[in-house]
Amino acid sequence: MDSIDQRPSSAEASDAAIIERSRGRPEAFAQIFDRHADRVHRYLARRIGVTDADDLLSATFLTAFEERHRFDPGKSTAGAAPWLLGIATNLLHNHRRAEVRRLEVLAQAATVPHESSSADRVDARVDASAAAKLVMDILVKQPVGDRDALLLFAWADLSYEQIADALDIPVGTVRSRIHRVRTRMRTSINNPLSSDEGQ
Amino acid sequence: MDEMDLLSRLGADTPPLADDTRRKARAMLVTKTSQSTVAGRTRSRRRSGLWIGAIAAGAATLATAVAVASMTSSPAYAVDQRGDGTVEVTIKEFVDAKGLQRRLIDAGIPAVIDYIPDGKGTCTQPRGDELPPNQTPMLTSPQGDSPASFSLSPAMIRADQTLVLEAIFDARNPENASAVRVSIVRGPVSACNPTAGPTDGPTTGPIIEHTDDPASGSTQETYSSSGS
Repeated sequence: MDSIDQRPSSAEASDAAIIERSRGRPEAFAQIFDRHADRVHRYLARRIGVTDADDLLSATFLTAFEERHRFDPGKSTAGAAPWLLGIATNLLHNHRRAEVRRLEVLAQAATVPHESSSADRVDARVDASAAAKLVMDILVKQPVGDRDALLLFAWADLSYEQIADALDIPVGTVRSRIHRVRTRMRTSINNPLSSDEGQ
Repeated sequence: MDEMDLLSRLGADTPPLADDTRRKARAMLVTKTSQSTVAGRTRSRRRSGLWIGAIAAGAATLATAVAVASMTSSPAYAVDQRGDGTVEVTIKEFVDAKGLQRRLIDAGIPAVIDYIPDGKGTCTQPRGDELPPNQTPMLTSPQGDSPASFSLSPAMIRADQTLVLEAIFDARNPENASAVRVSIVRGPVSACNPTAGPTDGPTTGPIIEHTDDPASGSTQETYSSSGS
């Protein structure tokens, strides 16, 4: 999993400094958009598809601007990304049907590419595609809080601590939520007939 | 291949943020930030916006109507984007200010549009830190059958700037405006709180009140008659 570090260099103003400045100069907040729009959109698009993500991108930054006084610089070692992704995640909760549709589409389209075309590789690809469908099936059925934690980890590249900040929950809760979903996925992959168990 | 490896590959080919979407979302945000009230902010006293119409000569001439093209069957405005990104704005009727505002934001131009019925005063000036006239779009004066129009490139509007357009229109004949003003404001744009002008007084024309929510994109217009 590639990790994206969008923290500014020491020569640039930190996100916390920009947000602080935007309290007196609101227009400064546009810099937060410039820094994080791509990452927030990518996360949203993976969860609900590009069209809905386009709308939620605006809503995320308008909400963030309105609530910039709530941004806690003490939690900002990773910049504003966890905070913004947390706002985006909350807004996603009003689009659960779109998300389920999106996850089902991903499950249907699930293929895991291999460079080789040998028979063994084809078999492996089929197995991997079936496993991917099982993974998405489990994901759709999880409580939304568990899914949020896992996808912020897997698709938004946040650490457990950053997810805790984003969702405003203890880091231990993040750990247990992700562990719970991963265990269910692993069980489902290893024993597909048991995929409905433990939910 | 474990479950996290599988998961990380799913949806990895999601298309990146499109430029048009980025421009629109950014314009919406900048418009929102420009309208945010900042207590105690010192504004420039420079007055460089371009009034086209009678108001340029002084408030006493506000009542002088300037004919704007009468095209009642066509849309109130047109926003056309050329291949080079230049946006051409044509205003045929001074109705649906917030619709035009949304259309400009869609085109990537942060914008604040206000239409004030004739006799209801003018927006208190300046609305913010205005750029000098040579950095402001040239407005074609409405004359005869030619409607008010101007063109600008999104590049003319920098990161923290907003296009501000105001018009004093004839409530009985919204294709007529006595004055149109266009400016570019750096930073916050104050709300339009019409000042009492010499033409204020009893009127039978409607007052249009806008309730605009950039987050939802919804706008409500309430028409009422001040003469009733």
